[in-house]
Amino acid sequence: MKKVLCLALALCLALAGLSAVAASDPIELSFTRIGSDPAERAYWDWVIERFEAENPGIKIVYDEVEIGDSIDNKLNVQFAAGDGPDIIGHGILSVAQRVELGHYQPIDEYFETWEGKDDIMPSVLANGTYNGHVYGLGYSTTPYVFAYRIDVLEEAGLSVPATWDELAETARALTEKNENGEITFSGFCFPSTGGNLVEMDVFVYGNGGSYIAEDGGPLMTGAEKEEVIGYLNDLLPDVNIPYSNGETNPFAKGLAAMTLMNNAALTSVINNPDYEGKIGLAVPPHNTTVGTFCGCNMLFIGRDCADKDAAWKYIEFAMSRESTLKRSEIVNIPVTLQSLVEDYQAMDPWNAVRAECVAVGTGMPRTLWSTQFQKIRNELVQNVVLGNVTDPAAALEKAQDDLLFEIDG
Amino acid sequence: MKRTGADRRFRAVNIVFIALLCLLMGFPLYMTVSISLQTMSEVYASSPKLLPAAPQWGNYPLSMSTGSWGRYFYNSLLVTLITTAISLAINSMSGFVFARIPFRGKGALFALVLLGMMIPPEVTLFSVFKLVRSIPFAGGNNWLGQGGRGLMNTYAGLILPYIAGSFGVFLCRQFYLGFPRELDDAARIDGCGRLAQFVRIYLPLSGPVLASLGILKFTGTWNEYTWPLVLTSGDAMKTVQLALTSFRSETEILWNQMMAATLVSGLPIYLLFFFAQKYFVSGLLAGSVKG
Amino acid sequence: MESYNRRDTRAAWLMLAPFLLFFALFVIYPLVMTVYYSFTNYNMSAAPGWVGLKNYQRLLKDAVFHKAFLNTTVYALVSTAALAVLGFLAAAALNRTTRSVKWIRMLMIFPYATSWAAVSMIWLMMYDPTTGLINKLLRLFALPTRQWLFDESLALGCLIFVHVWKNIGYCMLIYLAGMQSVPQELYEAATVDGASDFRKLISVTLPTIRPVAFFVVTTTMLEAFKTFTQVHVMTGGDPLYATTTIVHQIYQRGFTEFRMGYASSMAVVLLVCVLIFTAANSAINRAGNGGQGA
Repeated sequence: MKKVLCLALALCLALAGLSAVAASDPIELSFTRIGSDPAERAYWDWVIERFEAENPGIKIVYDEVEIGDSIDNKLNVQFAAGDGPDIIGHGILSVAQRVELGHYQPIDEYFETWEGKDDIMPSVLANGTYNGHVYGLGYSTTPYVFAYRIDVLEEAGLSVPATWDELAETARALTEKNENGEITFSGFCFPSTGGNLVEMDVFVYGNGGSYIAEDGGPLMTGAEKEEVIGYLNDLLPDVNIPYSNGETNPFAKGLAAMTLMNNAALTSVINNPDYEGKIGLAVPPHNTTVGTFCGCNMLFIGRDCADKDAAWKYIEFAMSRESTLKRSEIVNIPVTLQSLVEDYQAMDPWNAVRAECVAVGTGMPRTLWSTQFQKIRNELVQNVVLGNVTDPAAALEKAQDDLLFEIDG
Repeated sequence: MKRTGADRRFRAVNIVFIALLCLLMGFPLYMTVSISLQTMSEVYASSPKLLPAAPQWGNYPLSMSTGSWGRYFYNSLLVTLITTAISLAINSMSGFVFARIPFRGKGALFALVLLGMMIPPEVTLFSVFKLVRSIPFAGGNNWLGQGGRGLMNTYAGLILPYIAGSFGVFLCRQFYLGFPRELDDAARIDGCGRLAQFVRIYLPLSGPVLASLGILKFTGTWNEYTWPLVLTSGDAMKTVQLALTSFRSETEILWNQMMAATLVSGLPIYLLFFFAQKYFVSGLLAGSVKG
Repeated sequence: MESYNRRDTRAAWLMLAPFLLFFALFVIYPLVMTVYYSFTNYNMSAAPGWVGLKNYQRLLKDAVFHKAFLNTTVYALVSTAALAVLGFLAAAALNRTTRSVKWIRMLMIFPYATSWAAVSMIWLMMYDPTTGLINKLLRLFALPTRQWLFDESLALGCLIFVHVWKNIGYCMLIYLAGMQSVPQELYEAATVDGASDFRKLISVTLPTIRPVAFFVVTTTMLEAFKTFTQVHVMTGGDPLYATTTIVHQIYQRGFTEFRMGYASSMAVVLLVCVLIFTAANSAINRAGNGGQGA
């Protein structure tokens, strides 16, 4: 009996000692952002240090969460308990749903008086707008660019494809197979599986298609999309090797001549000394319209933020011209302020291509059904690449039905 | 002792079996070490390289250089050790109760305990979080558990949900069920109460089960990712598992450093197992029941 | 029939009190909440609204959930059978105290001790259809190669294999602990009877560690039903849901799609399913034990 009591007492004491919480500061803001790479972390450390120096009454508690759905997990649990972060760095996919759930606060009044109001790129601003209100300001864009091996194309005497037909021709010419008929070097690689198969979107936008109907509802059907499926069905079996777009792209391993790649992911390939001077960038080949996919990460103010003014100060600081330029320097990401485009292009010869991809790029649909859309679209793409689709129109119809079922459910 | 033909064949089969298992276990371990010693361009080679051209020992200190790994290890160790210690005490005692003390409702209660093992942590994550946040008097909460932050971002918050493990109770119970009943008789003759019986007779003989439970609990808590993700913020409370994800980014995955960090992070478990092995010595129980 | 004396009952409840406190708070309470949420449309932000059986009705129509259910059951049964047997054989073979055996046991525990992040990377590399080692070996011996994780019919099997690989060490560990309490006298008696090593294994070791074996089978099966992390890091449920499991669906629906109510109903279904399997397992064990308690 005594032993049990002693144990209980010891536990209570331990509990009391262990629940020491962080010290008190005048204003403490929590900032959680998606993405955990060291380069961007270095940038944000720089921003936080300078911001805190200029604003001694404010302290920023910085958290990063790796790419993927971990951040949604964390945010949802925290918001559900009434304890969401004050400032959030997240993508387009989150906008509609979190605004509807009330997780993001509108920042219209701050935006109106912001000096960068007319400087921010319209497409970037649009990403953070919902139902006529401004919620987020884009600090980074991730366009999908067309990457190719300069040396491989030169050796074969081929020029960089600009249209779908050229792409098909070039890809077939560059594909190599072994004696068993397996492809060992891919002319053009396209993912079979993955978390967000936006590579398909690049083709859809390049054919003038859209996923949003006029009434704002989903649109999975349409002739443009049927053509995309027909094209991929025809081309991919001849030139592709299986990979997941969540893992390393075969292009980065020297196993492909051309591919569509996330601009950020390209950085590591370009920096690889083995590929010096061999990587070329271009706007993705199109059929009817020049278009590509372009994601965007934005800064939002969270619902549970008690001090909106302080939070806005931080956002303003991070979106300043100086910070933005520094960002592009450290992380090699296209600028989101129009006045800096020239400086940006001066930094690197390929930046003109990147900037154009941002300009013609469209992001994930900013709708309440964007997560369901992602799921159904992924399913569709997998079916195409695995060779299951014999009737594109029927497959698209089914996708539309499935999506509507998901939305209603 | 004469070796029969059957014995020899059995022994041969054993050796082949173990050799195959070793190959299967060993090869991925080899690859992990190999990758940790390669340069990134070797990692990105079109074909996985078995041997690095020149071992990059520098990857190890490099992987520990960003962020404060000392702090992360400290956090993980503190939480894991305390959780394991308290767990061992509580679970072994509870396992003993279920194995040896008859009382009304034991069957139903044990079934309830087993039920606890059937629930995936992802399902309970959310409710536990709300609970931890609303613990009365913690982190600025009033007696109703409102107003403050409860045990969010604290060590207690990381430890408490993991103490009650149905798994541990179940394991200990099965283990104690295998003990000879004569031990109980010996205790009764000496006039011991149940608690004394547990502490003085069963506990000293619990080496193997405490060692295995300890290893399993340590490993499980050490490798825990989702709960620390949701409960903690900022660098000061980060655990090793959370820090391991920092090698994965939108631009690339630093495989070589990640493998190095993974091996370093697994070190406490390997060490623990190495030293706990002596508890797996045959015949621990034999001789205790004689006479 | 056991008679319950007051001293025993009081001792039992007192000694169980610490465990029961934490258990009630962190296991039973969330369970009750989950069952409650399964009858609502909770999205983790607004207050939950009662919808009755709507979630369960939707489950009947959800083809992806059906796939997940099938996958999970196959995964659980196959991996449990493999682990129960292989773990036992490994423990039996390594149940001696020579130095080399000590190191081999360390090797066995390595997969279990390493986190899924690292393990998945290694295996993803091995399984890669173009550059992976498995296909390379197959080509070397002029055998047909496969797409492994990109093949709808093989992907689940690949995951099961890795799961078994990762957990043999755990099973071995438990079996070893159990084998330590087999009294030496039994072995000696068997030797006197002229039993071979193999015979001793089957007739002495196996029956004595029956409670431990039951434990291994039960816990392995329960863990297998709860599979999530492996799917999350290795395939994300792809290709085309060939590798998704119930908990993976719960995670996606609940956390990614904000459908906590629906996800909770899946959790309840999982719970019922697991209960049935565990009860079956218990019954088999009890029958084998000659009617004695499990």
